[in-house]
Amino acid sequence: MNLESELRDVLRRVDPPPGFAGRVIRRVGADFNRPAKAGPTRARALAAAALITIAVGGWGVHETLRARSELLTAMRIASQKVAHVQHEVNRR
Amino acid sequence: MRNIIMSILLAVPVTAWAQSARINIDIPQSLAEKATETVEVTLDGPMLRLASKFLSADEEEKDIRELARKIDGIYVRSYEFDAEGAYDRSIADRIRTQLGPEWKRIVTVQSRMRENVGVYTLPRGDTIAGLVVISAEPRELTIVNIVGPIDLDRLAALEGQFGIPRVTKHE
Repeated sequence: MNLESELRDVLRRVDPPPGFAGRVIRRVGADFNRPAKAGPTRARALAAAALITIAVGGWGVHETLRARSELLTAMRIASQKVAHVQHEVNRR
Repeated sequence: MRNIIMSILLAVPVTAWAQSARINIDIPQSLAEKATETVEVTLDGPMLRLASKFLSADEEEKDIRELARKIDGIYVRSYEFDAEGAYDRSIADRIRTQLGPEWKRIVTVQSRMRENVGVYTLPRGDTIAGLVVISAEPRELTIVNIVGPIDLDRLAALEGQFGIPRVTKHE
């Protein structure tokens, strides 16, 4: 699972097909006086919002696990160096 | 209002404590490019606290978590090289010159292998407020800076954990 690449795919800019802008303007003009209602657009928006929330959450977990791994590495190096010095001092 | 003032007054000494033990261990990028293995860790603030919470409660990570919970930051730069003399030893000297008179050199180990390891602490009363380890070996340069109270004996005792054998070198 690669949430970052999925997020990039979802948010990738896609050029509209030719004539899209004209059709939108005509449709908006035709629907201007109709009452607003929830439809597929709202569902898509909610789905996109949910996906972004999940992706951001996944990124947070990924960062935390990376920090945990770095903490273990840093502590390992620090302990090795201090233990080595202690050992050398005791040996002499 | 009183709570805000108290919070500020309590925060100031903690910040001053943390700042005085922090040194600049920024190493030129060109050194990392020459190294065969590079470890660069900068962990402090909320990310350090979060990372320590993700350590498990089992025997292996419990001690690490206990130490990590008390410190304010840990910074490590470690570079390994294929050949001897691949890095400028004056880098270690430049790090050392940042340590003012308040820093105490615990010990310096200089061996026949031309290894030079120095351990420096920043004492605060009965505790240690910061630690710097500078290890300059023929094929390896390692700098460690820990900010905050640290127990050296407990830190050294961690060696041999992490699921790997002890790696203390013997000449």
